[in-house]
Amino acid sequence: MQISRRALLATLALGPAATAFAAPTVDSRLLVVFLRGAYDALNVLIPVDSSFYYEARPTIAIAKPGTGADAALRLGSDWGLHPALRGIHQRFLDGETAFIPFAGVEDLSRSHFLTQDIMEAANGSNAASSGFLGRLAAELSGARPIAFSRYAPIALAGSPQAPIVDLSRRLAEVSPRRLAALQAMYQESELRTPALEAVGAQRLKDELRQHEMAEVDRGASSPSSFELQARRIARVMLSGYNIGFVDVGGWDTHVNEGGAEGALATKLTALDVGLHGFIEELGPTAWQNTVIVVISEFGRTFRENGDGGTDHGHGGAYWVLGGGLKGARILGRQARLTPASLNEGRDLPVLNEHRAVFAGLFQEMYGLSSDRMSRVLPGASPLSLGMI
Amino acid sequence: MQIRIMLIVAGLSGTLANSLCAAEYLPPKPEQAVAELAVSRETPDALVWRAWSAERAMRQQQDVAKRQIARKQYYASLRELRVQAQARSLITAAYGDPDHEDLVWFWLNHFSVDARKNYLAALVSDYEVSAIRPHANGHFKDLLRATARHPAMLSYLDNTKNKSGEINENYARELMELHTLGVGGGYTQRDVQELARILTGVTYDPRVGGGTVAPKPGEVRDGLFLFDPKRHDFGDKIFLGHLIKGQGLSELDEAIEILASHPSTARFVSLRLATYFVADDPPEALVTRMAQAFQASGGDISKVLAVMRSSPEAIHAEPRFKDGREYLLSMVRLAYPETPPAAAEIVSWAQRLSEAPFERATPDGYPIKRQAWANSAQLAARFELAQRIGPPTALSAQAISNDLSPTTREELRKTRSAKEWNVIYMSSPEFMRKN
Repeated sequence: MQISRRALLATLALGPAATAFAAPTVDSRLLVVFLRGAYDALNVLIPVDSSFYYEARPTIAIAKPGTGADAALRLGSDWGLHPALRGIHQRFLDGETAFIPFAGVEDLSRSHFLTQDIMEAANGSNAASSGFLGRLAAELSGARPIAFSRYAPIALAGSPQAPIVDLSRRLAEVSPRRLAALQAMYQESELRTPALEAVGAQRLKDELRQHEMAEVDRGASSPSSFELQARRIARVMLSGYNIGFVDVGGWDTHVNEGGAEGALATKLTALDVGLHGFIEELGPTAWQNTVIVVISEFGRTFRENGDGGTDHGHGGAYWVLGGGLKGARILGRQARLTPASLNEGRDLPVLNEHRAVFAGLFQEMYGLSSDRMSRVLPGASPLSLGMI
Repeated sequence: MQIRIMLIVAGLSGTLANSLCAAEYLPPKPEQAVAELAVSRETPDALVWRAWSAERAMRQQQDVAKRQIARKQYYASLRELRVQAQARSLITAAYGDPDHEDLVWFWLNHFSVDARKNYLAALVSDYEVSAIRPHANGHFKDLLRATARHPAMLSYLDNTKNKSGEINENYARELMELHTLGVGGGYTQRDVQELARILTGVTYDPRVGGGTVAPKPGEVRDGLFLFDPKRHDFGDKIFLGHLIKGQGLSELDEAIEILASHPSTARFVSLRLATYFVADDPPEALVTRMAQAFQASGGDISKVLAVMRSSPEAIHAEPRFKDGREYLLSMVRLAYPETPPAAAEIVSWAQRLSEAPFERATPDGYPIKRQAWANSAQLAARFELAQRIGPPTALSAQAISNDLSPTTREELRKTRSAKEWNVIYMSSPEFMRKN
């Protein structure tokens, strides 16, 4: 399904001003998925050959690969994947997925809000008027950033202003008359840019809504809500957006996290299905030059707590997916898991700093000069992981 | 405030008297809507006691499944209190005196707290009514003192965890950076540490609502407020160049005096007032005159505002883009002129516009520059809400702005129903600005 040119044009007309000449052009697509709430990385990317892991998590640890239906899916000799992530596991085996453990920021507040802000600003502080994806867009010619969110995420703050479209809920019917009236009223206004972007977003949503109604009429089954959102995101990005950001909440599993089944497993299943839906909707050609990065503000405590859950930690794991990825690997610096190697005796250390990881990825994806990179991620030395 | 004095004379604690006193006049229907909320009827002591007891019962529940249920119930009851506190704040703002309400909001936002943390849901309504409202147009020092002694602030910025030998600097830092001197206002990391030491033991006791607690020697209590000498660092401090002898709670009063009378505070507060009320980048000359009035009057906010309001810069200021809250209130006043909307609804609209009271995650408060609000997400939210809230019947003629452009008038002329007219009006560029 093609989003109509008309819906897109409303926003294209206000496209970002071309940056200085010699800015690299964008011919690949990036989607950053931010899992807000600090998902339990240790039960997703599982250190299956560590007896320490099994001692520390007597009730919620995921069993070693090959021990039954609830077991971890094998990723190599040291690591396994949570069994709810079957689709992603297959993509790992196909070389389209890689993981980066011991990833995160240096900040040790373990505060969700503070650390999320620090990650999104990605300039070494949390008081920033721009975010790293906003700055990335400013350095690329033809960048069309978009946020799939209810509120403007800090990650996309900065120039050019990214439209914000909430695709997570019911798409309300909009009247073309009203949109036309809005467009007319704001043509000459100082608020023209944000207003026409808002109108464009409404048109996009209405096209999506009509497409979905047609699908229902044809007897298609109704996808789960995150899968629905993910498919919508794919359709919107295909229509011309190449830097996307979406956040998914609800990962703060302090109580009753569960192991192979339970609260975390349910969310992981939805995420797995959703990402598969996104990829399927993109189609194989577009998938070839698309990269998805899944991140979270920090990992969780190494040991389970007294409530069958885990608490705020430090080092976590990032996922990288892409049709053209050199995947099937666990990347970056790693450490043996012993009581001594834990951070403050309670959580995983950060060995792959998030700005270094993104700097390395952006270098590989976009070929940014070091001048431009220093504007996108000030102070970061790119970690070359050979992903693309 | 006569009623409050009478209540205290009758034997009620300061905190209780404050919370029972409706400081502002509201028309009958909004007054009734507010009065029916539990946060208006019950004391913060009782609300906190209930929350504290429920949380303790939940933790003591051995059965994991039952604890899960108790946890859900506990968070649901806190959420209900939060929504009530937010609704009370918004309804009062929508139907009270607009200028006064804007000033109250300015201070609520300046001393911002998030009701989703700890037991703040049970405390924030009292925070607004007893710490902020009485002093909004009074002396800055009183405002500072009231917020520094209120459990909501002490809990939000973790001063309840701040004790001798286990310092938590969070409140000390924000007290200087966000509330008084401002970044670059002349304090050092050492001053942050010393202020944190001064603040040790300044906390609250959630159990007072469960019955009288006999004060231990050296304790100072006032309702929920507690100064606990066992947690206090009684050493001497050097704070912003002043020697503060280790004497206990009076150290906090000294620190507040120093902060409130510091020239950087006069400047920082004047700058923020001018930014919120006059212009995103207010003229330096105006801020200087306001800061001078601040210092000359010992921090009398009404004097600073008088200078501001009578200034040519304020009088000739351009109509400004409304922030989320201003847009919401202008819509509510138009669409619900007499009977306020339901509590849950008005709160959800404020959330949709990204400026719900007591829901700002960081202590810096919501942006006071209007430029921060002029983005596509905010406009999309406003277009959606206009469609939802636009009333089906014609608005009163005097409620409508006369200053509409030919384009807007043309679009209004094309509308085919009163509802459509109202929606287009509330979506218009002119309605996005304060007149």
